Amino acid sequence: MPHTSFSNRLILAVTLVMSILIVSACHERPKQEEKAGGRFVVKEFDPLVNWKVVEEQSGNDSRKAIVLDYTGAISDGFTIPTLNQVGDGQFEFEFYLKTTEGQSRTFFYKIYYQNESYKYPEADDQDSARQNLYAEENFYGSWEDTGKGFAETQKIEADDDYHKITGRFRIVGNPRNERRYFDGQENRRWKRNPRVGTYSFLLVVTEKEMLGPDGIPDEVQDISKSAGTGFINPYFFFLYGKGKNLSNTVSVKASSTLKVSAKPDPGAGIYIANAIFKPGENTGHYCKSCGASEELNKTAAFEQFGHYIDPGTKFSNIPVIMDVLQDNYSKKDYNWNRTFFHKEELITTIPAVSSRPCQTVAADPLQHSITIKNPGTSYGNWVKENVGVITRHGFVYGKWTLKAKLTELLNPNGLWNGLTNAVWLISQSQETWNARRNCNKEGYMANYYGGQQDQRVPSVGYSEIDFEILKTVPYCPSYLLPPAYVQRTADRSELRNWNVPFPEEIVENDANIMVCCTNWDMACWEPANFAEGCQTISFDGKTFWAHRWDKNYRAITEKTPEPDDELFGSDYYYFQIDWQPTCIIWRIGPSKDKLRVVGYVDQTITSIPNNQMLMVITQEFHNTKWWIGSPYEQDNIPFPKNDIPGTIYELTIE
Amino acid sequence: MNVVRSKRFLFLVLIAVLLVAGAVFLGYRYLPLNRIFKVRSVDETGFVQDPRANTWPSSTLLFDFEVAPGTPIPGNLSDKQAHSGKLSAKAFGKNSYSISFERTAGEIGIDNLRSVSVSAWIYLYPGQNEPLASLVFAASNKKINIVWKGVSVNGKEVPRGKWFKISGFFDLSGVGFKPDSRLEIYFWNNSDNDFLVDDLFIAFSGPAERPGDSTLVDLTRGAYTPRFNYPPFPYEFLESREIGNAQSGFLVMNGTIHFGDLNPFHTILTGPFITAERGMDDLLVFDNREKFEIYSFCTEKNEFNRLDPVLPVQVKNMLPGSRIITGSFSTPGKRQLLIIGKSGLLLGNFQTLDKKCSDNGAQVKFSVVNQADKNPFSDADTILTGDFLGVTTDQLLVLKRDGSWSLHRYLKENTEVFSLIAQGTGPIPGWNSANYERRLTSGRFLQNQTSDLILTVYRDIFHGKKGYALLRYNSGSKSFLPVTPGGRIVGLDTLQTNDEILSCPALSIGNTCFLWYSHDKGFKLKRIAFSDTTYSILSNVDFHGYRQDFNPKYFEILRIVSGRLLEKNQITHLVIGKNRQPDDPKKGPGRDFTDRKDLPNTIQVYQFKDKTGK
Repeated sequence: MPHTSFSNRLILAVTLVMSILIVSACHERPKQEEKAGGRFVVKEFDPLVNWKVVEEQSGNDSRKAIVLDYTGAISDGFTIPTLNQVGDGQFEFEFYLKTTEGQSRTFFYKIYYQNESYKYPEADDQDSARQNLYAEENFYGSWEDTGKGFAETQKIEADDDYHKITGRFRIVGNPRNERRYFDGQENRRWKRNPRVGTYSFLLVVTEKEMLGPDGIPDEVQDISKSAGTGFINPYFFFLYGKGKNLSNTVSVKASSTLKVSAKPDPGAGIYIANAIFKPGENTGHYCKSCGASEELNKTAAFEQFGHYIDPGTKFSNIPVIMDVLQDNYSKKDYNWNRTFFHKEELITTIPAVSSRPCQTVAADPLQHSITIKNPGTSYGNWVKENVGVITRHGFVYGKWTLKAKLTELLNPNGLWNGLTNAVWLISQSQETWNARRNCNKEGYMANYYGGQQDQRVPSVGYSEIDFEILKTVPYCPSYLLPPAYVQRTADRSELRNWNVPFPEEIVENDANIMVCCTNWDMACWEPANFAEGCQTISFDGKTFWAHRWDKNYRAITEKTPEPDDELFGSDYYYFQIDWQPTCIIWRIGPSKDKLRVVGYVDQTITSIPNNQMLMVITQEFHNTKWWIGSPYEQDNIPFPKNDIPGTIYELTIE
Repeated sequence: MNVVRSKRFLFLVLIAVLLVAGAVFLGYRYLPLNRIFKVRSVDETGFVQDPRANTWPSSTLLFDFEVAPGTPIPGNLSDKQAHSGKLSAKAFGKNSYSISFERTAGEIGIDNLRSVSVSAWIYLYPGQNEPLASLVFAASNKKINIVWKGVSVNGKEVPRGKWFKISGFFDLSGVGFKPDSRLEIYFWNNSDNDFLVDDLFIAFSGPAERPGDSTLVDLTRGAYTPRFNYPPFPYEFLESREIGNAQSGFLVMNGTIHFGDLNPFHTILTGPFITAERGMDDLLVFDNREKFEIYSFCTEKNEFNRLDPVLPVQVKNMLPGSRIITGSFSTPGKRQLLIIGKSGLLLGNFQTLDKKCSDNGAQVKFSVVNQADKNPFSDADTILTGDFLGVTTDQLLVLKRDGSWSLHRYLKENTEVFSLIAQGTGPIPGWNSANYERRLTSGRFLQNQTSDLILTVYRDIFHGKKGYALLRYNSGSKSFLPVTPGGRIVGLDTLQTNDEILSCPALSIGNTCFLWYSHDKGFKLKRIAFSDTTYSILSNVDFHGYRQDFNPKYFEILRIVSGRLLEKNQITHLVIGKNRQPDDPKKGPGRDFTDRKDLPNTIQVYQFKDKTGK
């Protein structure tokens, strides 16, 4: 028995050793090609030694993945990684270096990273030796201390052997430490958060003499410094520019990349900050998961959204309180109410914002969801109250995908409850730190709410990209607008005087709501095909009609009719704004892998924003004067009798 | 030689014919003949009326270019393609026009020319030339253009080989129309393409504004503070009660058996005509023809029972042209009929039925209580019943056109059936119908009253001033004296002379209130209560529990009759909703009804939700 036991142990030990060897072999980092730089050779650059989450592996290339850690990000911006993610909160990198000349010496190296998903090509497409005009906007960085320049290695012995060089770095906001994002002496890295998407890593190794004026310029060694024409993108410099052919200098782009995504947790609470809610006073509905506590300030990924209501958007509403979705409200009811109430009976109002923060929004930490609701109303307290939440951490670009069950908008008779379900991005701030890139033709209209006579300015902070989903009509082609509506007469002695049929194109679309995709470009005329009226643009085999009222109109909109039951009658639906540097794609679908394009614009017809934005999810009552030709006017839609809920399940930004 | 000549001649003739034919073809195809030869505006009598036009208001025009079967098809119409029917209008080639429709501004009504909406279905034949065309609305005064507006159809995106709709809206405010301004609507093709046009629709519009002056509640200036008798008022709902008639147009509907086809023009009276059950009312329905029916609700069957009144010959003979009034004239609690004929009076009542739920059609006899062979009220303009004396039986107030009045009470011994109690010629506000339109209603309008009051609503014929008065009979002075200061109420909620004041359940014990049903062009059903000083509007009243969206208030004609029809001492409201046949321009407004699918005729009973009517 003991003999048997020994042999078993031996077999077990051998098996274990073999397994370890096999597993080690499987996990062995793919060998990277050696790269010679005159008097040295570099190999096996691994920027993410201590980050093991591999999403994709293909030959030598691997894509690792990390989800942004929201801890502390509200004040410090995102860092990649954080202490919660790896031991000391930094990525470990390593590479191997050997000298090829018989003299021991030190070398100098620097790690650069750049977001590859949302970038402009580094080189000009006409002249690859020139940096692309917009490449300086790319999100790239290096050592957090930009003044550190190139790091020096230990002395590398001339022993014909490779020596391992290691170090640490992390990706942070405002990697160029630009003063634009400072408040006094405080670097507000959250004002230029790391972009989501895939990062590449560039190792540059050189020798001391190349760090002089004839080698690597100061602006590349210290990325916080800008040349007369702006920042020099080090990726451009080393991969396309002068740095490409520098002697005794090696640039190695790592075969590993890192995919960064953000998943703000709806269940982490709702913070109350907007002054419109008077957060310090109206505390009656505060709770652990909604309020103005310091704890929520640190942890919550969402705030209650306070709509700005233009006092000029007053409307006079019928004094009817009804649940349009449940009470079988019909076209006949609508026609009657639209016709027979006297002006004296109407209620002059504007859409409202809750005066009791946390009353109409709630976070559920268990379900990781947020519920919003437009409150029901009663006689004397007539109100059409908007509701919504906004994220708190801004990003530039990204594929923003929302999974939500927002309220149905139409009842079985095709009647609209007056709400607009909106999923939109808005600039995080209109202060100068968040200004858009200059508009080089006539400038932008200065104000979102300005009229036709608004002044034009080179730069603005306002940007907005919308899904607005409501009952309205297409504006294009122009010979369709508006439908031929017939005026009603307040005479009940003849049914046809007031119960006037709707045009056939309205009736045929009874079950559809309009998915309106808008980019607020502030009427910048710079795009080559900037135009007023209707124009077509194609993408992915589909043609979209884009519409702009006139050349000073600040937004361009595309509309696609979609079935209300599908978008809002199911358990949830996906809405995606794919905001890229040169285009915006709007997609919707029943699951993330079944999204379809419902809107597309690009830089040839509209100015694509490049400033930091937040996502807003709202159910809001619009004045239909904004939506010319709409079959149902907000004024003639009853006040809601019951709460109208919507639920946000998931938001990913990647 | 002759043969050769003849052949040559024939050849030349043939060539000439071919040339002419070619020229005609080319001219037709390529010359803007429509511009050269102005297209005659169509003689619309040649077109068949599109039945869809009946669903639109009279301020709209719809042309689908169809002609009566067998009628020759005019040259400017095509039978190759049509969006609806078989024909469409052609606009072929550059500078071609479709058929043009013309009206004068006077025909449309200048008030209806604040704006115009137009739409049409268009078919563009396949081709290479970029289309350029317009659906045009134009107007001229004595051949001088005053407006030209068009919906432009152009650009490479215009679909070809399929029908598509175009539409537009033109603001015409500021255009100086005169009654004889000539309006034209046509489709103008200004490109080398061929278009067809069908289903041309034109909607002229007057002011888009709602009636009224301005809103009274502005929540942008602060919270709502209710103001006495100012809208908006809270809503109360009358709930539909099941009476087993499937809310049909018949009072009784049991499978295929149906009867009780009541219409709003019937005289419908409520009261305890035959029921022995105290606190319950029956329905007496008659018209000036043959109809004379009684319905009583049978609680066990949950439906109305029809009873067959058996009238003595003398009553039958008296009925045509007579006035029938109900009241408890000789016996408290028993509802009687007073038939006032040309040459006499007759007071009688139906026998009381203990088992009113017996088979439909059970006979009930009418017995004469008293009669006179002389009509003392032949010069009466209005006769109103009520217990003005507070003696539990009813009296008659007889009002003449000049405002003079007399009050009569039943007296068994009197050969004239009624005897005169009081009379007057003094000026009671609104009673002189030479100067006033008036409506008198009797009832216990105020709390704790032991006698009925008279509500007079009047309108000065000459000055238009409106007012009301609440009067009580004073036995001492033998006159009607005002209970309230009464007076004029102006604005939205002014009592009108054609408004009805209907019984309504009290809001609380001892309180009295009424349903105010207005018959004006809008709809007004409100619960009101009178006080010593005025009347107050308590709520708007709407209906609830009807099928689909067949709200009774949507009917062109809605009659509401109040009574204790379903439950003891509980007031319910019988509603009869009907729609009229469209007016016949030759025959004028019709009194016939039509049963529409989108709003079928209905008879229903409604009741406030609970006993107090809340």
